[in-house]
Amino acid sequence: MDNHVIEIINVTKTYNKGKPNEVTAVKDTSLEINEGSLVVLKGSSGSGKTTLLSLIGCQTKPTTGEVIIQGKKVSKLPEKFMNLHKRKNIGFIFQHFQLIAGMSVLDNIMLPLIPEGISSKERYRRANQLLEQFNLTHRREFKTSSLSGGEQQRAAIARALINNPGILLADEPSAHLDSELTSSLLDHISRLKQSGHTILITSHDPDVYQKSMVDHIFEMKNGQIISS
Amino acid sequence: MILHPWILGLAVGHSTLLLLFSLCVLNAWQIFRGWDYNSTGENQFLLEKKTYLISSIINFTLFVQILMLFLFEITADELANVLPGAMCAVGTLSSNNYGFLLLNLKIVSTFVYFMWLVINYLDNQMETYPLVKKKYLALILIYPLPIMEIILFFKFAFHLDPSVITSCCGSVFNESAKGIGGSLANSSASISLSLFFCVAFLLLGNRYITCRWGRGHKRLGALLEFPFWILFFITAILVTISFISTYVYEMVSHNCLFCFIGSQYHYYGVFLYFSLFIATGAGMTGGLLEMITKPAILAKKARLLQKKMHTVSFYGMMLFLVTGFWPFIVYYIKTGRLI
Ligand SMILES: Nc1ncnc2c1ncn2[C@@H]1O[C@H](COP(=O)(O)OP(=O)(O)O)[C@@H](O)[C@H]1O
Ligand SMILES: [Mg+2]
Repeated sequence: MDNHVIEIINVTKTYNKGKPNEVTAVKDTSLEINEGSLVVLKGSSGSGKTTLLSLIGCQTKPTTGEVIIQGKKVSKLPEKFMNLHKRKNIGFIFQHFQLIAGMSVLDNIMLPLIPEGISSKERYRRANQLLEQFNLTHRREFKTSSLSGGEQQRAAIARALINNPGILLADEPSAHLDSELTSSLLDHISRLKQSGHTILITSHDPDVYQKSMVDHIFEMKNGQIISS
Repeated sequence: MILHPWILGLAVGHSTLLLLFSLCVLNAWQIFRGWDYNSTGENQFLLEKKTYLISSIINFTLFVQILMLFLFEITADELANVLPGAMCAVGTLSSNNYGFLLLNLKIVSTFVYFMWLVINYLDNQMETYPLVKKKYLALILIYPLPIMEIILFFKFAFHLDPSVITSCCGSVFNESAKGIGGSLANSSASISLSLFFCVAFLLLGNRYITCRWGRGHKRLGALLEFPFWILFFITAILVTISFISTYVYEMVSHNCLFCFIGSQYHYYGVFLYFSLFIATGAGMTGGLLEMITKPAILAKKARLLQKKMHTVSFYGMMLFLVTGFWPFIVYYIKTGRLI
């Protein structure tokens, strides 16, 4: 069955084109990911994992090539529509979580709903549900800077899920976690997979990519996928 | 005269806008030439980014260009204080050959710029840039307008001579005066009123028929709005000279189009012209939007926008009628007779 939620066709991404610090982070890469699968992107630092993930996550546009997310050629969309597509379909967990330090856990989690114009009642309903699901209800009004590492991680996942996206992208989610937190993270990810999310994570941690729930591993080197 | 603060301001404004406009036209040309929507190559991505930037800059530029029409009017009014013989903007504008020419050009370009802005707005609502080539070609084609504006402006500014006595509105819009102002004022109010109401009923009747009849007529009717609104604007100006103005000033012999803009007449002209420009601009644009028929999804959005334009132009027309005929009604009720 061919049901590709993510399709990358001959994508190249060059930063600082034409300048002395020009660097091609992703080189003529193609990739397909089936709906509902859990895929890991591994590779050494600087191999282009984050760049490929941001291309899929509609954070940036390719220099050449096509990015197709849920059947939509997002790389062809005007910025405004690309962002719209991103907010509807993609949850992103950043490498360092990127929670906003001065805001409460609740506000951080609800933030992605603000541009959607969703009523405050509905915002609170969804946020409270996620706070409960990720065992953060008692930290609701805490500033995120005062949270422990595990709590920050759960808050970041909750924020990525508030739009109820079909696709979840996580950039080295276990990089700063001890093994106990890593296994709790993997528990969460496994549950999300069971509920039908398509998940793509980058990692160079064998603890992550050697798990049996992983459907596919792609390895990157020098901006290209060398094995899959 | 060129050093008068208002003139200086306009000179800087016009020059800056022309610079921005030129920048955009240059890029518009590149986009027009290189655009290939189906390409996933580097050049196309760059152009897609560019079109976003250019459309933002040109939005700003054209918007300010439209404002310049009003600034120009204010300037002309201000300069009347320094030019001997001038009473209002008319004195300034008629002090050399370029004033009214520039004003007329600015009125035309204001409508053109407005239409371009609406088309750009429509295109930016679409995911596939359907109008990109056409709108940038149109931008290139209207480039002569700002150039002519700036040329006329500098000619106008350099030929302003405070030592020459200019004519005031009393003589320009006077029935015994020669020239276009005089002949306009001379044309009887009844003729211009009947022309004006003919056009207004034509417009409203056309709309009524277009609403009631089938598809074939719909298209023709909608397209006809474009020339009809131009006629509406022209006849509205005629009526303002020969009829409305006499009741605003309560004086048969004074037909000036400018005196009533100022504070002495409680900015009456601002309301009058505002409603006229809104009605005409929206009305013409509604007609223009009818020309967009493909792709279907764009045409659908265009029809929605067209409906809005129709509504705005209708209320604009009503506002113009109420504002324009208010002084007449008041006068008639007060005195029980016509002027
Ligand atoms: N925003 C950027 N600007 C310039 N260069 C970048 C940027 N992001 C990444 N790079 C460069 O692109 C290459 C790949 O980086 P990255 O995608 O972050 O790899 P990874 O996540 O595998 O470590 C690196 O050489 C990096 O320096
Ligand atoms: Mg990285």
